[in-house]
Amino acid sequence: MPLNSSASARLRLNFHHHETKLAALLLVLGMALAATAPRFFSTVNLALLARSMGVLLIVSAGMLNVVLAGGIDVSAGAILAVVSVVLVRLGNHGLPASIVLPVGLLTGAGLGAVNAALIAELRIPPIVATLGTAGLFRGLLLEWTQGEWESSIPSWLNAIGSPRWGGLDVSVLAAVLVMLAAAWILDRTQMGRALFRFGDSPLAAARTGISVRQPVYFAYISLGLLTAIGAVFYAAQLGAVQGNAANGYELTVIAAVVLGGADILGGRGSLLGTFLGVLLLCSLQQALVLLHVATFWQNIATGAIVLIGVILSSTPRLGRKLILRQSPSP
Amino acid sequence: MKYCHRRVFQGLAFAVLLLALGCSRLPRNSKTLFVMVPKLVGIPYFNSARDGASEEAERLGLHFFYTGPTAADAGLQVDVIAGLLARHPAVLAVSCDDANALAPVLRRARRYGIPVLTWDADAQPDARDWFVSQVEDETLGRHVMDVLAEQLGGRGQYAIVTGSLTASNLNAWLFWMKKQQQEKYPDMQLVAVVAGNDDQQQSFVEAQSLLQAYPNLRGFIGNSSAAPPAIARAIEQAGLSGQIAIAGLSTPNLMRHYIENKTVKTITLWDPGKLGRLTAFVGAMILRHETPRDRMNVPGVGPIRVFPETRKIVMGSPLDFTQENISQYWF
Amino acid sequence: MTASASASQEKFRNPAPKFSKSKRMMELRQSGSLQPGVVILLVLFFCIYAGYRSGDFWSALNWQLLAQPLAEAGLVSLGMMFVIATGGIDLSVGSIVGVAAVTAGIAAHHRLPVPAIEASALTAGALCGALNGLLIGVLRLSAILVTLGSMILFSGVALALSEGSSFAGFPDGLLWWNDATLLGIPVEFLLFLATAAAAAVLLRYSLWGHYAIAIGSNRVAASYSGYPVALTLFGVYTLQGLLCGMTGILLVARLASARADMGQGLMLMAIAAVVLGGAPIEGGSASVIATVAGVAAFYIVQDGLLLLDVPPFVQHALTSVLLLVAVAAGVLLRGSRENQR
Repeated sequence: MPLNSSASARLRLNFHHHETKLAALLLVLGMALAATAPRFFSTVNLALLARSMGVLLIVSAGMLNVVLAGGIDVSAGAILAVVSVVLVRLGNHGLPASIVLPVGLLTGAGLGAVNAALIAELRIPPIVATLGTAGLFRGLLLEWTQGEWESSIPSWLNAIGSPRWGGLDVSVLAAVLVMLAAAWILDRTQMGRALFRFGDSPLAAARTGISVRQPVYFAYISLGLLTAIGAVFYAAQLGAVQGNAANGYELTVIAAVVLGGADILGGRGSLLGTFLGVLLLCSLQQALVLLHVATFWQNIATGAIVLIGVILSSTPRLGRKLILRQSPSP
Repeated sequence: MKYCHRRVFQGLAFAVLLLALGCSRLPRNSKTLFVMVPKLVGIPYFNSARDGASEEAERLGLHFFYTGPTAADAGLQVDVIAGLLARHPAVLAVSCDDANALAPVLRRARRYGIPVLTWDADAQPDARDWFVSQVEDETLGRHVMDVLAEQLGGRGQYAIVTGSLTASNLNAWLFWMKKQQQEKYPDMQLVAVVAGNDDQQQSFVEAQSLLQAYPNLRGFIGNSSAAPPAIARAIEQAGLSGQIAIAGLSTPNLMRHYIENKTVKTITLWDPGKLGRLTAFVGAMILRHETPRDRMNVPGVGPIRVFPETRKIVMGSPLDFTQENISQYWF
Repeated sequence: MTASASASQEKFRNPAPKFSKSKRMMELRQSGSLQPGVVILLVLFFCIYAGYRSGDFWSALNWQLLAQPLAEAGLVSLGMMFVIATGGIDLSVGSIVGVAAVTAGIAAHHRLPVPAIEASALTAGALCGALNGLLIGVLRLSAILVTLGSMILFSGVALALSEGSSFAGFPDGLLWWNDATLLGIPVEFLLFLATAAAAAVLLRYSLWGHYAIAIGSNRVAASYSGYPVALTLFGVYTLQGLLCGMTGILLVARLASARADMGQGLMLMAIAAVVLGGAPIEGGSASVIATVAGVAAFYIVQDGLLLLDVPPFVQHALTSVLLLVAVAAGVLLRGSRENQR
């Protein structure tokens, strides 16, 4: 199967299909909610929903890059925890925001670079490499903090996390900016296009002159950086940080990205889909409480929705023959 | 090919060198080895207990060793204890993640002749020699409900954010809280019990959603140390400080900010450092083949209650932290 | 779909996929023999070191106590080995163990006889696995996505079945699994060895094992060769579910109780053990001995570090480093030839 414009046009069409389906699923959920829990659509609740989406959206935008490049990162939760603790610890020592924030972002990018190096240089499969670094990062973090929780945050960080503008806070604005920037990079820059082509077929990409290292570094460092940005708001919203924070957060992020129709094998996915995936997960979480669903049943509902999303995202390929789905040679 | 092999073996040689650097034989001190196992390592509550216990153990001439699982999981805790049995400690003190699940491994320890204490959270009674309890489950559960009811004037809707739905001691406290409310405060109504899984972020999100789901909600109980600060944060950010009451269990350090800015009036706990002290003290007594006596005075802890028939030692009554006294506590 | 994970990885490494089949098999054979070798060497060094520093390390008691959790994780790892061999992954194993344990708890609560309790736990595990197998094998969905969803779903099922409470009061017949020993070796461990032997036979001498490996190396080719891809995958995930059921029973016996969140740590352990043994995560290769070596390495090192007074979080970090070092060494050893493109 040649990787040319007709193929990418077909893929575009697929995105379109998938996002329509997701939107339809959301619409059904929305109508059900309107009938059963009209409170869901109150401005206060919608503002709350937007705030709860902020961090997840920022990290998911990074994870999308990684998934597009055919990788996966299960250390994102650990990176989030490390950066939050670094931010809050330095801040509580009295350092100003102008020093703490860059240090935090650099830490995130650095940890992402460690992942990228293991994957690109040592050629360790992404899931193994990040499984290892997740244990490593978190182990070192907890050894460093000795389990002490940072129970207060510096006032400038507190100001970032406080609601303003009718219940919205800076994280919503940041999420919007991140999405716009990510859309621009994926759509308009060479690096963005390289990411798609690399993820679709690393070899084909290499033949067209794309480095086999650059996209990997870009994907994991951007995820590290965006996770660090997410960590700023994570810490700011909570007002405290624990060393075992965000345990398992990476799975939520991955679920949101794949629910949004990104192909876990790389090369396919869209920001709009990711946005819808995040929206679906967050509104589901909120709706289940609003509908007074017992806690025991919440996991069942979430798991079922993820499975339905996975099945939906794959149906267009069910009908096609194997040969079309898998092209062994470029 | 050769080059790569060489790199690998260089790496190996380097690792061996590193190991050799840390080469000194560990003393075998099983005669005086006091091993303390928390539900999980790396949270302030248990760190505080560790500090108290290690101080007391050193004073009494015991070798103190503290280790545990890195997550609150009964299976992991059993694995850690199984590993420790090979060292044949003189006394084993365990805060049990699950009363039933820990029982077989603790019974096994007793079969090997190791005296077993449980502290903080009990195992089945036949699996341990003594249980060192901070306060009776019933007293604590009823007390927390009283604290909430007092702030609410005995009426209105309330919700509970608990740690995990499977932790047996949290469930025991929950049971007595509900019972106290049903018996003494019929005008109060429990609308929901949700789990924050000992994670601040999840507790925060759950509390936010509850505020939306139940507009008439007047009170919260946070039934695990991560929950009350998260609830307080959610209430503060919703601009409802002072309108919604919070009661529950957490440490002064986590709650200091919210108590000082009056979002929270009272938070309940006990002094985990003292609990650690008492545990080490009882451990040393067992080693000397002494039996704890009722109302005996333990240095640094105070008088204790001893119930020989249930083999239970109770440290005292719950401690309320308020704006007046919170500055005296640091854990 | 899962297979093309291996396909794309393969493309990444091999400049000429057309000729790569035989060459790749050679490499894998090579890697299959070398990485477990590296791991065993590392662990041997570690054992000597730990034995030197701690007098308790070589005590019979230590190894007896070590053998039981090892056996449980080992059973799950054997199932994971088949799953990874087909180019898939199963994130839901921990939740399936929880479902099986809770089912056993409910069965015991209704005072069913011991064989019925065991059968119900095994059935529950196999059913969960079968659902995964159906979605992955028959509907051809991606393994990682399906099991991500079913991980959440099954943990919800286990929670809802148990309502968060812990079951106790199991009959002695079931607890026998924990207490019984043969010649000083815990029965649990013997069961694990027997299962490992059976898995080795299945893998090497059965047609099904051959299919599983073939699917992992190249799903398209396997399907063109007329291999029953869907059925094989269904079988692999059902077997994984069954093994999780067995693990559930052993865990219940060892902890004398059943809880929904049992076995949560097993998923990462099983994946790490298989990979540590040198199986490529892209699939197409499997070795029982390597898997057993992988899982044993984790438990021996963890236990040794505990006896050496290493703080828990450093233990955690060090076992992660062991994984990274072993896999990097394996990749270096096997990658040296193909690097010269």
